[in-house]
Parts: sequence; structure tokens; C-alpha cells
Amino acid sequence: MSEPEISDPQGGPEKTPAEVQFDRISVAVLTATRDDMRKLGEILSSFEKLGKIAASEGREDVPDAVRAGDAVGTALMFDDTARKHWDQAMDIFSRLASCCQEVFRGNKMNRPVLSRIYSDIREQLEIVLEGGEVEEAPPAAVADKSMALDQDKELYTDFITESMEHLDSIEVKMVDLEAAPDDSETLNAIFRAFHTIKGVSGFLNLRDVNELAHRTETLLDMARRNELPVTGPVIDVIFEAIDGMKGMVRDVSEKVSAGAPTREFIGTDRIVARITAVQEGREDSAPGTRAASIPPRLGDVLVEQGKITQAEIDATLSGQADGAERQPLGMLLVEEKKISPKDVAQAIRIQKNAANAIEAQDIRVNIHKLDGLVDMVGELVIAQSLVCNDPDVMSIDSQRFYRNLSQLGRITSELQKISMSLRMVPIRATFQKMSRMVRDLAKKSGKEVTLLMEGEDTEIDRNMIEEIHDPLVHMIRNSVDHGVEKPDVRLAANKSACGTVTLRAFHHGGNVVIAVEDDGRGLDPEKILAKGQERGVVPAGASLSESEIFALLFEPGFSTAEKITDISGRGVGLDVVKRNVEKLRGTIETRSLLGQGSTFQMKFPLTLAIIDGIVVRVGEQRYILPTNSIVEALRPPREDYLTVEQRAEIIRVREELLPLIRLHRLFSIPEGIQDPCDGLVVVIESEGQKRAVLVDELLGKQEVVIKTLGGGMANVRGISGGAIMGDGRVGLILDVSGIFEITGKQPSFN
Amino acid sequence: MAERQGIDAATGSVKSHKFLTFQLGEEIYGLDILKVKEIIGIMDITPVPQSPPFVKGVLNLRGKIIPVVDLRLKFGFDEREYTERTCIIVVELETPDGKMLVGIIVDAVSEVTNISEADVEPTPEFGASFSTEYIRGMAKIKSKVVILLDIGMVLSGGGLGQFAG
Repeated sequence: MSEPEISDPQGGPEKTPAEVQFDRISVAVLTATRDDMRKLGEILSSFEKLGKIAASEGREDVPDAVRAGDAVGTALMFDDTARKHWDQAMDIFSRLASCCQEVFRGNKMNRPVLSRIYSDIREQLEIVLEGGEVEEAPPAAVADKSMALDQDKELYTDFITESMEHLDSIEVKMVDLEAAPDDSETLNAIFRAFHTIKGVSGFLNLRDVNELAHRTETLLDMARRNELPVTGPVIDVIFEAIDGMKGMVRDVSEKVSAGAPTREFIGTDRIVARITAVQEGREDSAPGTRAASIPPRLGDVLVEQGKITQAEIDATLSGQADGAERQPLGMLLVEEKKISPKDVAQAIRIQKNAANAIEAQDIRVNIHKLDGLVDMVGELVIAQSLVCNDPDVMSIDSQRFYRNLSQLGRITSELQKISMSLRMVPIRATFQKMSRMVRDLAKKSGKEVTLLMEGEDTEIDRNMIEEIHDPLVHMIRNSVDHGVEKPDVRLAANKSACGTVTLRAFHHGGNVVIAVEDDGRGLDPEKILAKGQERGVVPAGASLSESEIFALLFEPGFSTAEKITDISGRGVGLDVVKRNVEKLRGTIETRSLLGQGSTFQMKFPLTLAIIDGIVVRVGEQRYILPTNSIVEALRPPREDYLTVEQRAEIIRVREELLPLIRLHRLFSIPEGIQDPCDGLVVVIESEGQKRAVLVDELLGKQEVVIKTLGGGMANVRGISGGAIMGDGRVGLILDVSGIFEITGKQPSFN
Repeated sequence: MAERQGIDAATGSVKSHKFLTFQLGEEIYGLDILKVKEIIGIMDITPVPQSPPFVKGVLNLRGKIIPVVDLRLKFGFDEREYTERTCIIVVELETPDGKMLVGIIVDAVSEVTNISEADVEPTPEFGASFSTEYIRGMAKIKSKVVILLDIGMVLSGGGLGQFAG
């Protein structure tokens, strides 16, 4: 082996710029953990630098290897599926680097060896690069897929909703893009959306969707890299692709609801051909205006079905355009005997179906408009009841009038019901997404986990659902990764090998509670406390209650995991959860029994939700107590009213001693019944504690819409919000746990 | 538009703003009209416990719940019975969390008037015991003096925390 002139033998002090890059690559490859994007970025940039160095030195053979490295890197960077082959990719990187190194050292003698290595690498390279493509998927992934086909109808359902959402958002962004074709951010957003669809459809083995998404993505990528100007035809063809994909997704949806997962579709050739044409700059192939491309034209449908050729249609069309009265194409074709009436009818049906399908089932509405609508409907209901109860109106003696009035009443209440439901969606979809995740996580960590779900029908504000998603993912990861033990450990502890994670949602006291419960190893307070002291979060020797100790888990940088896995346990996560939850003005509560499991309860206030409430009167004020938090209401007999040191008051309710809270005193209401035996005592419960609350009387049960109390008043303790009452005034909704907190801190009220 | 700006530039700074003037006791105050959403008569207000005395409570403004502040109490005047002339001026404030509506109770609303910058004198110093940070200036109109308020500062001056109670 001859050494290049400038470089010393190994260990020499001087390194060529290329050597520096080789070193960087090898170090990065060795130290990169799975999915380490930063390292991947380093590797990519090193290859790029190598390319430049090679070019400046006039080498031609190196860029080949450099390009390969670049391709693998890019694939890993952008394609989740390719990332499955991370280890092979790393291997390729190091072999490519050593190939380059040989070439840079001027080892021309090794040429044949080099080319063999190249071809060897190329094979591997293809596997990695085709990772995103269904056809070349490695056996492992195929097995995964077939299982998915059998098991998961919901995967398809998820895919359908998600891709429809993506496509909708793409459409909106496309309009932006048309207005500002140079906006790289919009372009990137569109690219990413297509990319996601491509990834998922690939995973689900939906070839056509995958292929079309892939083609469109390639087109967009060219635009991103400024290789293709975003012109009208480009936008048109993307719109076409969107429509095509929507059709395919709808097709999938139909097949899924019919019970059979699908891989069939009429074909993507037409659109793909058009994309290719646009890519090559043949602009004329975009058919008409975009408006005309929705729905498909009759001619196109016929050609696609192979009933007629494009040339024949063109001939007929030119005749049609000349005619004074435009006759429908179908009719002309039949007249000219080019096609049978039956075929035309079929084609028209297809065309109509497509047109119907294009009409979306959902529309997107600005949330402020929706809020405004809900507010105004509420006002309408109040106005209606004011009119109906007006003494002058009541004195009208007319059958017809009352019939109309009651009709008005029915309509308003129906309208109210609809408007209330507009923003509320069941949490089901979010929960179902989790089931997929639990399965993957369990498989990854070699555990058996069943996910149980309760209360999927609990309705929750749509905005809230999006916000809740991330914290929920974190909590479930935490439960699967840290909570549930491996099967052998579980068996040793006399538990069934398969762990259970329960996801529960319910309304409680005007809050939505989402609980993640596992029957795993539970939390060890002593261990956590020790860790807290070790990390300096807790001063040594401090004595903390169990719940305070558990709260430490949510401190930044606190992790009890002994080893770091790629799922969780890097010490980030729970503090992020806490931050997210607090952003929603929610709280997290942790309960755990060592060896038996843990429960994490996230409690969120409802921004816009209906709660069942009992309206109570205190003096001249009315308050709404959430029905969920009420245990019972009673008028205590004299002997059940007790005092402690003549200060703290207690009501005895069937052998239970409950501290008495006087609402009028707590809220400084001058009037109000002073003697508990004259008023009414409502027993309320929150977080396992019970208190007795003194009110003047119960006014009735009512469903109310929770609203926030305008700016600056959102965090009044003891009040969770307000509601518009039947007379148009505001009634305050009591926050039971908040009241407990205030009274707990002011012993004189107890 | 350009012409008017030209005039402005030529005549120094004779920019003028429309102000809504209102009464609190014997004093006349002015609010930038752009901040005013609407003026409503006094209506049922639901008191909110645990809030400072000047926060009278909340009311239902066509389905939206908004807080209401009694400006007399905020400025430390005596409380006065509400009359036919008592008004709630609904103002829109910019806060870090977005726009918010607040009602302010005043004795009576007077008029909308143009006040040019030339008529405005800076707030005199009243000494350390009297904070004037929310007074934008004093305007003289027809022998009367209008105290121009920065309503955002009035309501958040002591920090919104105080407001929230």
C-alpha cells in the first residue's frame, strides 16, 4: 500500500481536511444512539464536506460514495420507515467512509475490491432507501403488517380520519401557496403532511395512496429545493393529487366499513403521469382549471374505463364546442355511436358519486364564530323564556298564539341542544390512539400489557382534546415503561404475566378527570425521597407526606428509572406533563401502592362544557354546585350540630363528623341563614374528603354551560366559572376542591 | 389621509383623538374612544367572592361573562348608590393573554369630544404619595379640565393579580 505524499503514517500529527471528516463520521457512527438526529446531522454534513473536498481535488470516484451516504442520511432523516434500518444504515455509513478514505489515500490498486464493496453496500442501501416503499419492505416489517391487517380495523379508521385532516389542511395551505408561491414555510408544511400520509399508508400497505403521496412529495421536494418553480400547473396537479388521494381514502373507508381491508383502487397512473409531466415542465398536460378537475370529467372517466380513447373524445369535443347549442358530451358520444348509452350512464354515475363524495361531511369553522353562536343561542333561550313568562304575554287569550309560542319553545331548546354539542366531542378517538401506542410500547420493551378503557364517551371540549393528547401520551409511556414489570418479574410477584393499564375518563365536580392506572410495581416513596435528596430537590432530613413525595416525580430533571431506555426515563417527560397540565389549569394527583400499581389522575377544568348542577341560594346570591360533588342534602337536627372550642363547627351525619363550611361567611354575604338547623346542609365531597356546606335553600337542578369569568378573574379560588342563569344573570359555579383548600387554610371556618 | 398627515406635520403636532368623557363625582375623566366597546345602563351584577372591593362582580354581556369594576371605588371615592345616570362603559383591553372586556362603572357619561394634543398638559407632580402613572395628561376644554386616563393602566396598574383578588 502506498501512502499519499502529504500524510504521515497512522498517528501523524497532520490530518488532511478529508481525514478530519472521516474521523467525524466514525465517531458519530460509533456514538450515535438510535434516532439520534443530531449525530445524523453531523454525519450528513461530513459527507457533504467530503463531496466538496473531493470536487476541489478533482476526484470523480469519491462523490459516488458521498452521494450514497447523503442519500442514506436523508432517507433516515425524513422517513420513519427507513429509520427502522438504523443499524444497517450506520454500518453503511462507516463502510462508505472507509471506502472514501481508501480513495482519498489514492489507493487505486484497490479498485476492484472497492467496486465489490460498493455493490455490496448498494444492496443494503436499497433496503434502507426503499424502507418507505412497500414493495421492498424487509420480512420483519411484512410480518408486522399482516398482523396489523388482521387486528386493527381501527388503524385504518385512524388513518382515514388523519389523512383526511391532513388533506384538508393541505388544501388550505395550497391556497396560501398559490397566493405566495415562494413561501418556503407553507411549502414545507405541505410537504410534511404528504410525507406523513406516505409513511402511514406505506405502513398500512395501501400502495396506491402511498405511491401517489410519494410522487407528490417528490414533486414538492423539487419545489422545496428550488428545482421547480411553483407555477399554476404545479398547483393544479397537486390539487388533483389531493382529490385523487381523497377518493382513495374514501375508498379505503368504504372497504373498511364493509369489513374488508383494502389494497385496491382504480389506479394512480393518470395523476402520476400528470405529476411527471409537470416535473418535466410539460405544463400543457394540466387539464383545464382546477374547478373543472372536481369532479372528474365524463370524458376522463370514460377514457379511464377504457371505453373510448382520448382521441375520439377530443374529436367529439371539438364538434361540441363548435355547435351553437352545447349538447352534453355523453349524448354526443352516443349519437356518434362511439359508445353505448349504458356505458355513459355508468360513467355519469361514477362522476356523480365522485362529486357527492367531494362534498365534505365536516366543515371547519372558526372557533370564535362558534363561541359567538353558542353565546347567542344561550341568550335566545333566555329571551324566549322572558317573553313566555311576561305577565302581558300570559294574559293573551289565544289558542293559536300559545301553539306558536310552544313551537318556538321547542325550536329554541332543540337549537340549544345542538349548539351545546357543537364543540364537544367524545374522548374516544384520543383513547383509541393510545391503544395502538401501548401495543407498540409493550412490544418494544418486551412486556405484555392490556389496555382497558373506561368512559370513552365522556365528552370534552374539542380544543381540550388536542391539548390533552401530549400529556396523556407521556403518562401512558410512563406507566408502560416504568409501571408495568416484565412478565417474569410479574409472575414472581404472583401477578398475571400480562399487565393492565386502565385509561379512564369521567366528569367530576365540573372537571374532566383522566386517569392512567397500572397494576405494575408501584412507586416507592422512600426511593423517590432518597433520589430527591440526592438531586438536591429536597433538603436532607425534610419530612414529606406521601403525596408531596410523589409530587417530586414531576420536578424537572427527576427520573427514577434506573436505566435509560429509548421510550422514556431520560428524566424529561413528567415535568413536561406537569407544565402542560398546568397550562390547562389542571392538576395531577398520584396515588400508588408499592407492588400493586399506581394511578395518575389528571384533572382539567372545562372551558366550555355542560355540567349538571344544583342551584343553591345563599342570602340573595345563587351558586351552582356540581351535582357530581354532592353526596346529600339534609336539615340537621339540633343534636347533630356540634362545636369544638366553640369555634370549629361540626355536623354529624350518620356517625360521620363533617366540618361545617358557612358559605355566606366564606363569601362575605351579609344576609343568609345563621342557624344550620334552619338552613340546609349539603354534604359535598372532593378527593375523598367530605364537608358540610350551609346554604339557605336548594333552588333546583339545572344543566349549565361553564364559562370563564372574563379576564383577570379566571383564578378566583373556590369558583370554577360562571353560568348564565335563566333570568340572564350570572350564577357562579363553585369549585368544591378550591373551597376545601380555602377552608383548610382558615381553621376558623372549620 | 396623506393630506391630513401633511397638515399635521405642517402645523406641528395638532393630532387629535376622540375621547369619551364621563363623570366621577365632580371630576371629569376621558377615555380613548377606540378602547370603548359599548355603553350600557347599570344592570344586575353578580358579586364574586374573594375579589377586591372595587371589583363589583361579573355580568352577562350577551352571553359573555365580563368582570365589572367600580371606578369610584378603584379611585378610593365614597361608594354611591347607583342611579338612572349610572353607566357601565365596556372597554376592551389588550393583555398578554389576548383581548379582554371589562365593564367600568361611572357616575354618568358626558360626551364624545375631540381633544387635540395641543390642549393636553402633562400630569403635574402630586408627590410620592399619589401615583399618576395611569393619567395620560390633563386636557382643558371650555374652561373645564378633563383627566385623560390610560384605562389599561388603571385596571392593571397595580398588577392583574390584585384584580384577580
